[in-house]
Order: sequence, then C-alpha cells, then structure tokens
Amino acid sequence: MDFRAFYDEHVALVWRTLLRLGVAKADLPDAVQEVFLVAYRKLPEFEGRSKPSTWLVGISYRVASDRRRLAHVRREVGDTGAVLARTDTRLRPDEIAEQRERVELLDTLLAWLRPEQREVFVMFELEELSGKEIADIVQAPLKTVFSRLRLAREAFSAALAAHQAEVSRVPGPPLAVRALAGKGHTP
Amino acid sequence: MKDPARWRDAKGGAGAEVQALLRSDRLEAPSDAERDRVWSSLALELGAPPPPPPAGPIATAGTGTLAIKLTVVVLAAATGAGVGWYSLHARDAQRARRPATARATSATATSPQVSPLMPPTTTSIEGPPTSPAPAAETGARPSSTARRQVAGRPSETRPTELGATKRDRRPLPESSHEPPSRSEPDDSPAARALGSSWGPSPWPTLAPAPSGEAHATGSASRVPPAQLATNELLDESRLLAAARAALRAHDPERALALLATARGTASLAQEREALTIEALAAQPATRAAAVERARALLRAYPQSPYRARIKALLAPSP
Repeated sequence: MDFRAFYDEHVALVWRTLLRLGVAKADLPDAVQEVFLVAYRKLPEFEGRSKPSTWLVGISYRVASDRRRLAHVRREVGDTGAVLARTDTRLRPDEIAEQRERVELLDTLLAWLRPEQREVFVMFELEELSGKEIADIVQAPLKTVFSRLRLAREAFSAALAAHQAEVSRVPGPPLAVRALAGKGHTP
Repeated sequence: MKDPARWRDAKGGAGAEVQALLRSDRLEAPSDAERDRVWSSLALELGAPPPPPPAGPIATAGTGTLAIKLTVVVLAAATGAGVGWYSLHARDAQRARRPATARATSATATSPQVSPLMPPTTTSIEGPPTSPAPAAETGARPSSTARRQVAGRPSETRPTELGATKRDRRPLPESSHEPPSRSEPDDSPAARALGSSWGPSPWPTLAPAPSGEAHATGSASRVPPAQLATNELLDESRLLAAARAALRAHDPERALALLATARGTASLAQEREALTIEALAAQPATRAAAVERARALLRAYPQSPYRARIKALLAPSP
C-alpha cells in the first residue's frame, strides 16, 4: 500500500473525526492535510501497536486540539451544511433531506458538549475506540475517560431533549441551531 | 476496567433517535473533488513546494499555471523516479563489469541535463543570468503554514527565513544526488503493521544543481533525469515564490537579486520574466528597462496570462 492508497482509505475517517471534534468546515481541508502530513512524518515512530485508524484519530485529536487552543476553531451556524457524500441514491428526496437534517443535528448537539467531553464522546460513540485507546490518546486515566463519557452522554441527551421540546413547541426552522444563533452561543 | 456498552449497540440503552443520529455520522465524507484537492496539496507538500501565494494580478494568474505544471511534473517524477532508479541501479551493475573507459563514455552520455520532461530552454526573451541559486536563499522548504501566512491569512506560527516554521524540522537531504531516505524500503514496524512498503516520496532537494561537468561524473549520473528535472523546477518555483514575497514586501532589489540567481527553467520563463518586469517597474531608475522588457514579453507571448498586468505596467503613471 502506498501513501496515496493509505490516504484514500482513511481520508473519510480523518475528515469526519476533525469535523466532529469541532474543526470548522472551512478549515477542514487544511486540517486534513495537516493530519496526513503528521502521519507521513511520524511514520517511523508508529510502532503498529494500534490500528492505523486509531493512530489517525489520535493525530486528528491533537490537530483539532491545537486549532482550538489557537482559536482557529470556530463554530459557525452556517457551517452545518452537511455533505452527504454517501447518500443512498435510492432514497426519496424527503428521506435525503431527513438524513441531512440528522447529520446537522448531530453536529449541533455535539457543539453543546464541553471540548474534553466531546472528544471522548466522538472517539467512543462515533469512532468506536476503546476506553484504553482513548485514554492513551488524551493522556488521561481510564476512569477520567469514562467520567467524561458519562457527562458527555448526559449533556448530549439533555441537548437532544431540549431540541425535541423546541421542535414540538415551535413550528418553523428546527434544531437548536436557532438557539445557538439567538444566544450567540460559542461552544 | 470494562468499557461501557456503546450507544449504538442494542445494549447501550440509547433510544432509537439517538442511535439514528449516531449512525448518520458515517454518512458524512468529503466529496471526490475535496479528496483530490486535499491530496494534490498534500502531494505538493510531501514532494514539492506549495504553489506560490497570490500577490496581485500577476501572482494570481501565475499560481494556477505553476500549480498545474508542478502537479504534472511531480506526478510524472513520482512514477518515473521508481523506474529510473531501478534502471540506473541495473545499469550500475552492468557498468561494474565494463572497462573504465566505457564507463566514462556512458557517464557523459547519461548527463541528466537532457531531461525528457524539460522543454528546450531557448526562449525569445533573454532571462537573467542562470547561475545556481545559493542554498542559503532557497534552503527552506515553505510549509503550508507559511503559505497561509504569506497569503495574508492568520497563522499561529512565526515563519523564519522564506517561510520555514517549527513544523518543518525534518532535515532535508544535503545534496540532490543522494536519494531521499523515503525511497528506501521501509522496514519499520509501522510499515509492517500497514502491510506495506510505503511508496517512495522523493523529497525535493534545495541545493543548487551542479554544473554540467559534475552531472557527467560520479554519483551525479545516478540521479534519475525525471527527478533532476523536478528538482530544478521545484528550486526555481521556490525562488520565484521568494522573489514574489520580496516584491510584496516592497523590496524589489532583493526580488531582482533572487531572480538573477534563477537557472532559467523554460517552463517558468513567463513567471520569471513577469516578476522581473514587476520588480524593475517598482524602481524609478529601472522603469524604462521594465517597459522595454514588458513589450518584449508581450511580443513573445501575446496570449500570456500576465498580459493584463504587463499592459498595466506599460501604461503611463498618473
């Protein structure tokens, strides 16, 4: 496998992970490039103790963290336009719209989580890394990881409940996006 | 300590809505165009310098042309380098069995100055002197961070000379005659874990190309022509980027000094000449020379992408 094949195989994972970790869509190409650059340069240090995908999630985590620390990560409400590259063409338009809305909602709900909770939640629930792998990546004890996961789940559930309550109460544009826009929320 | 059940799983205790939300995550992926765009830029970063940042109409017009040229050359070199390297090694083995006189003849014949990738270097416009660029001037490989900063976007790291940043700690090869370490078989645990030997990535070298004599002897004859052509083009594109940066910094003298060290790669003749004209025009003392060269450029390249910019330079100042 050459590096291009490796890139092709994992670019979707890196793209998705960075997005879920809060990297703005406009910054994604740069961030994805950065992850693969780091991967290329760190290859001699990669000892094969973990899967390449786990390794890349770890690099993505650090790239996203750096960008957040440097205030490069910004949550823009208009940034939630999800690209459904793998939309099933057999779906009806309303089903496609529903899928897109679901992806946007996921993004919005994640934005309500605290960064350290969000990271653990994304890695555990979305990328399905083990607690041990996450602990290695975030360099925290396993108990801390599980604690963050529990808090993240609670916050996620609460945000979803709030969204559902709002949708059922107020007609019009759904999603907590509206609340984010109205309150100037900056996760 | 055991992992809790995931929400995606039936035992995770999450509702159907949450599970649907989590499953929807996998639907999102970059489009093919986005994949290719990132890869192109990554390939340039790994094996070539980034395209020069835009700087006014001239740079804007030149960036696309230059990027296309670089991409074509890098892709050609990537495929050609492997074959060329193998064939040269095979030729070395043959040479070892031949008399010394025959080897000398062969070395002269394989001078990498003649590259199948490079067009003839004759143009209708006389370029600046073609002495090799000093390594100190072009010795830094501009990073994407530096490119962003040069392009006027915010950057978190402070670039050093010609855009080198902390991210670029990897030492570059000392000489263009040494094969990049990446092209050696990778027997690292990583490569084994990936079940692969990673593809060769010829890192561009920044040292000036040796003279023709040096090409004809010793290890120089081992450099695959395609790689050499790529290196020359990359060196020159870096030089042009540095000159462009100097122009933007209102330092036309330095831009001219840099341009004077260009080797005169034919592929970048227009870019080089347009920059030279712009630098000359930026100084009152050399404006007349700029006008003269601008006219020559327009005669030589009536359809040049720099046409509008050059014409603007020819217009009398208000």
